Amino acid sequence: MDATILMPLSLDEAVDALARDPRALPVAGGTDLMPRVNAELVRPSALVGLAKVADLRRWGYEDGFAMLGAGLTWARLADADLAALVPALAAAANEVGTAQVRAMGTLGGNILASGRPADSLPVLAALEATVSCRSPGGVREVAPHLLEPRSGPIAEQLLRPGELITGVRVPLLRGVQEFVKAPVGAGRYLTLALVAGPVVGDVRCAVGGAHPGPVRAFEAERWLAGRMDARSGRLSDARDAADFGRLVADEVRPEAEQRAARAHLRHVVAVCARRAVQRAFGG
Amino acid sequence: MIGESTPRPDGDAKARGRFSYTGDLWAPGLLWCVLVRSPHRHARILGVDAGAAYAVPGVRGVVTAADLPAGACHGAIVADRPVLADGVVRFAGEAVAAVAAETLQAARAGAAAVLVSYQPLEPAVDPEHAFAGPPLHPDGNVLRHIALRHGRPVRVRRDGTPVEEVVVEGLYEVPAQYQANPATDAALALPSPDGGVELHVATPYPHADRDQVAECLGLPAGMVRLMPTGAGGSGGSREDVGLTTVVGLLALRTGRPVKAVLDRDESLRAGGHRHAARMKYTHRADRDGRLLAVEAQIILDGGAYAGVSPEVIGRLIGCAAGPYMVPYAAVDAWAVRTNNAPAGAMRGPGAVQVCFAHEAQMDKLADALGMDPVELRLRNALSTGTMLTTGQVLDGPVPVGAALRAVAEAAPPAAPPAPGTLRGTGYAVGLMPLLGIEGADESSTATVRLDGGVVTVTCAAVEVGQGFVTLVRQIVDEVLGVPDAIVLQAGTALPTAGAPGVGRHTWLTAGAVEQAAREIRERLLAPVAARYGMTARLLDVRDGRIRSYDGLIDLPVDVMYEDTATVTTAGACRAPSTEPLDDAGQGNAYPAVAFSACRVVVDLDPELGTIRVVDVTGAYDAGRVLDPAQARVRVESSVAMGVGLALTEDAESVWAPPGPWDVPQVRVAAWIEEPQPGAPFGAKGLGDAAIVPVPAALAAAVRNATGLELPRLPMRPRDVVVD
Ligand SMILES: Cc1cc2nc3c(=O)[nH]c(=O)nc-3n(C[C@H](O)[C@H](O)[C@H](O)COP(=O)(O)OP(=O)(O)OC[C@H]3O[C@@H](n4cnc5c(N)ncnc54)[C@H](O)[C@@H]3O)c2cc1C
Repeated sequence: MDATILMPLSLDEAVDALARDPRALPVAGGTDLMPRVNAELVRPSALVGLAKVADLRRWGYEDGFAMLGAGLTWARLADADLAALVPALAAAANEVGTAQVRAMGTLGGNILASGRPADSLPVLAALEATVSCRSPGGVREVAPHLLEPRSGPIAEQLLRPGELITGVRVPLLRGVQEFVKAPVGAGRYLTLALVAGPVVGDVRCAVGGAHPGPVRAFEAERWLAGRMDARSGRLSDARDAADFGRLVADEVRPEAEQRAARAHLRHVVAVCARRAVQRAFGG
Repeated sequence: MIGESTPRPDGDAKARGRFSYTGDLWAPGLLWCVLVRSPHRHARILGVDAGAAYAVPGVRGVVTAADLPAGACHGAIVADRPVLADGVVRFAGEAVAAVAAETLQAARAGAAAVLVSYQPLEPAVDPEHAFAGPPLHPDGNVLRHIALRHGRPVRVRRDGTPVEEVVVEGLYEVPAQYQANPATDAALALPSPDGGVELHVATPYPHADRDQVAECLGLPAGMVRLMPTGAGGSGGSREDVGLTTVVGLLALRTGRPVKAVLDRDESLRAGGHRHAARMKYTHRADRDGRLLAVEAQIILDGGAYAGVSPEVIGRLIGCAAGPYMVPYAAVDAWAVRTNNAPAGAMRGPGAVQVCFAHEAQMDKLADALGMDPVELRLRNALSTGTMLTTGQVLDGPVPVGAALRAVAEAAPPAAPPAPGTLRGTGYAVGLMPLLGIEGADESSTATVRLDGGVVTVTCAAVEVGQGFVTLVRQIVDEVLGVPDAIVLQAGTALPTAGAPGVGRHTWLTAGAVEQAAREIRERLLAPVAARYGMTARLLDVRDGRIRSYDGLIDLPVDVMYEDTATVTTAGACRAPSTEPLDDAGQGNAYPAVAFSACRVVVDLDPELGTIRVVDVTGAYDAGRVLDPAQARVRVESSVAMGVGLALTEDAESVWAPPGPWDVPQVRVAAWIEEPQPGAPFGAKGLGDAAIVPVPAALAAAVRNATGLELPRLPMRPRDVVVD
């Protein structure tokens, strides 16, 4: 490999380095990128290491939002303080790969990872979080739940060339957050995030691994919200969870080449959605 | 010291990424080689045009079959595989041409520019079709067939009344399995001034490779020197002789060093994997659960070329009925040529596949008889003095019952099943013939040199990651009291030691080292003993001291070396002699057999079909545990490979190796240490026997949890959903 290696010390330096060279790529944990660089599937002219940019590893509050730096690792996201803030992301973090990948892999790298569907994205889509993308021109906020999940790689829709993800803005919510992950064979996983507020009508559900991007089940969400009792916040019927599962599966329609595999994926989506609702609402 | 755990000399470097593999080697003026591979499974080659490749900047050479001596073919047993496809390609991924260029990028671009025109032919991918279909190769499509016939059907009891038979049948399938050696196949060739070539390859079998490469290049064997390099693991086959030859040819053509390293995707398509198998079984037993007969038809998919398929059939046939006494066996086993990638050898070759089938049959039988599956197995277990269905009487230790009892009696996992999951427990027992079989007449040599207290051992055996170097040091320490022997790998400078695997070096090379070391010991101790009016035999060398049996002598070990400058001795060890199996699959074909038993406990999420392996407990016929840590590694790696075959590695889909999350801690219920007569220290190789029952026991556990039949591997989530 003959790429230049840059180690900027600040956000500005990093953004500048990327803006100067459109063929440069940032490296965070490298767990997704470096295997592809070594296999020469991508040939960046320069690698911009983010390890020394302390700002990327910060987190904090900003009127009703939690700001999570793009450089936070999975292991960090699973720590008690951040787990209390965004429980679904911590739940996702606990189920990522191996201890080594959790120690090195970052939130920003995961959002743009091309090796496999990112487990953080359904969580961010259900939370209606936004991703902060920075270039010398300023910061753009992109909402993962408003992207086109079925059409091609999500990284291309999310980020413009030369931009750096600085972090995500996650609305601080009361209520429950659930994350479910299920292997479906051949190294593939389905993930599902469910967010249900104590306020009636606030149910959000997104599925990962079914399509390139996270898919929200807007209609199923509305249906379930309608089943919530106005005063208690409970569901009207014990069968609602299973019915919701089927509706989510119908709406998400996971993709697979073979029919049998497709049927299994739909079944798994329905089971994951039902379980998430059962956990969230009891029963 | 034998029996103690010793750190491996290569362990630290490998863990830190500092170990030098073939792919890391470099030489001044190095060219990179990339192969042009067929996208078709079966096609006629109408022409190869390298013109455009030469136009790519940096390309220095392109070779095709026309650049090799006519009919340049290689093969472990039958030379039926062209180095570069000649006129016809027989599997997708077969090498057709090779390009050498200044950089890897240029070599890749050059390879992409080579224009091969193909006329696609109908591929035969199903071994059952290929079997009777038109020949895919001048040698025909049946690579080997053994029609084993053993004993006589039992129809009446001793008292003359007819036997009441319980019959169970089943059709089983095991897919191909990729070894996923951590470092893929690679080779570096350096042209030598004498017109020959020096090859640096991580081959486990330098001699055979050297001879084949020389033959294919049309050079005398002496002009091809093969230097074993640091091997990145070996699950059985490694290093494609075809690749080594091509790299050698390009070095000769260009007069420059040439290197090739397969990428993972190429390595997946290039072959060398475990044989896919299809097996039809009928078991008959009497009402008391005594086996009366095993009938089976077994087809292995050999892929496009013979490779080691004939040998795998020879091993498989003796394992097909399992570690049980069977009065009548009729087993037909075939290895068939197809248009799939050529199969190779992977840990437990042949034995793993049949174990999946015969153990499923034993569980079916237990079910039909209303009997406990462990009890049924114990009732039929082989023991010393009983006979395999090949007619060979087992004279070594046969601890089938002991191994099975050990795993059955081990404490079950303490944790209760996870909420919402079904727990299942399964058992399996397997056997594995060790060393070269059917008259292989193997031997290994080693020289041990002692120079002022420094011991150097030179042997032709190759460390491929199995921990052999550690073992040699332990033997020297045990015999001579020197813990840090230098172990040199002679490559082709010493006579062949055979390939590692099937316990070969634990037996043969360790035996040779032991013999040579003992001779030195006798020689050096004799004068010391004589001074005290004793014989060397009465002295013990341990912990840096020489002590006599009665404690009267207690000297530092250095007195042994005082008077002698250097001593060099050679040792040799030969495998017990065997004979080829006859047409009915009968004969004393196996130098030794090893056994192992396994219990697997799983928790299954019945709705999602996800399986968590909670516990794997094994018992192993080790003869003697030479190094507990090494033994454990062999067992753990075997369990990981077995879990991969059973659960994650779906040959039809994306290849997904098992991850650490798929494999639990392995518990060893018992190392069974009944010494194997004739083997150095009584020890037998472990890795091959250890994997044999793992997939079978895992499948049994999932069947136990679900009640599903599950006749094929892998068990994907969608196969095990219980609604
Ligand atoms: C064995 C293994 C198991 C895994 N298991 C899982 C799993 O279970 N779930 C899952 O979701 N993922 C998994 N992954 C995928 C992924 O590698 C990790 O999730 C990880 O979070 C990626 O982050 P990273 O920091 O290593 O990314 P990198 O490899 O450093 O980068 C990935 C991509 O993002 C870009 N990038 C990184 N940071 C920024 C930034 N701040 N701004 C702009 N671009 C950026 C890089 O240029 C690159 O294109 C696994 C990976 C491995 C190797």
